[in-house]
Amino acid sequence: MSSNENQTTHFGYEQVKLEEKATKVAEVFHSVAAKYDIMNDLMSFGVHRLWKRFAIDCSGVRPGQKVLDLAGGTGDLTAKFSRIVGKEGQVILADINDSMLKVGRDKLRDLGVVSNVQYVQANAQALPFPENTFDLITIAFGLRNVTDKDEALRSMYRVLKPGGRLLVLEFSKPSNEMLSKAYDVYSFNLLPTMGKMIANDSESYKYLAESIRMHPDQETLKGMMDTAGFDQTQYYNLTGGIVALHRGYKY
Amino acid sequence: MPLSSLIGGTVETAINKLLRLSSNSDSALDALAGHVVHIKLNEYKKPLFFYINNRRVEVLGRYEGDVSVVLTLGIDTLIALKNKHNISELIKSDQLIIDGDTKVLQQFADLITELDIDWAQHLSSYTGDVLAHRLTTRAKNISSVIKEQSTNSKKALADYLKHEAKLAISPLEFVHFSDQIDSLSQQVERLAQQVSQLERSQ
Repeated sequence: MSSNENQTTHFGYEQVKLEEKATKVAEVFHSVAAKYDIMNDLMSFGVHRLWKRFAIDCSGVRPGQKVLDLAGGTGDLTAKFSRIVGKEGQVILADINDSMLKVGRDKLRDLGVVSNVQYVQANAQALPFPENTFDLITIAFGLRNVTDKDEALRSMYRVLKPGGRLLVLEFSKPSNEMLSKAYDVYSFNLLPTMGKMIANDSESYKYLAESIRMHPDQETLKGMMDTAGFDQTQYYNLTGGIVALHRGYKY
Repeated sequence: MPLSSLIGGTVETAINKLLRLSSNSDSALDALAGHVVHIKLNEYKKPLFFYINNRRVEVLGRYEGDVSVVLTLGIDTLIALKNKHNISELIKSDQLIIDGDTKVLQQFADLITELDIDWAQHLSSYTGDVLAHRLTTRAKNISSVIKEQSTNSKKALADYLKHEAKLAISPLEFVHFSDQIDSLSQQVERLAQQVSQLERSQ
């Protein structure tokens, strides 16, 4: 995955020291937290809501269950899960970045989602929960930014209950050549410009586009989930593979 | 997949918006709290689950928990549900198949059909009272004009088809035509009998 005997890793297209990546990613998200929601809507033309909705449909979540929304950012999935699991259930919104967590907490309070949601600042590679805790773990648009993805997947497997499932919603590789070209033009030219105009931060959005290209494609990620121990792993391509939803079970 | 997500999302947003505007839906929502209504539309192959909780309706494309009631019906039947007295008739004629708690179905139908929205009231917070009153009165007028127009144009079209284009027929013509068919069928019957007699006599 990197050169120099694993001492460096990728940060977008740059090579950075392993221990620097988390800090660099944190800078990006501190910078974009306040405008995160509006940028998501603009950049994806609102389609990110549909991707998330599809993930919820695949989650099989029921009243009374315990859900971990990892890298939950501004709480889109948490809000929905909180309503579905009800009073007996529990949702934990975890993010490594406290700026994102704060924005998420304020937003959910405004929506009136309070009683069954807890907020935890946590690193996906070392989840601070006992084994076999959750019925469902979701990580939406977060795995890309984790330094050691294999370790993160193993950590998720550990805290998942037997019978529980993991959903990974993440940018992936478009399956169609034409779409792929158009998508490249869009993300390398338009995206940073939009980022500059709206969030006054083109660098963060340049990182976004580059980090998407560095993320493992559908089959590779499926293989990584298998290696981490997950069973019945499968993926669904959404919007022509621009985004993929991976699902795996722990038995 | 995203298309079904889009439909689910649109339905969910619309329902919750309407429920928030309506003044009488809170008690109905409380009565339904925790219930899931599964609707299978004949025209739309994907199921829709309506999960009611916290005075909101969540619309899901898949649901693996317990469902209170399953409805199988067509879109026209969905509209006919508006009139509660229709329900037993719709069930008898197999246009509506219910599996589960009919009380939940009743409450759900009440929730959706008995929205009491004072549009003028909500509009006035944006435009002021006078303008809101005028706009809603105008809207009511326009809708009644449209209804009248559509009745008129239906009648005009029927007249045109009957008398000018001669594509459709009047009731009297239809009765006459039916009579002719009856007598024709009697003649055919008679002929058939004659043929069978001839066959036997051979």
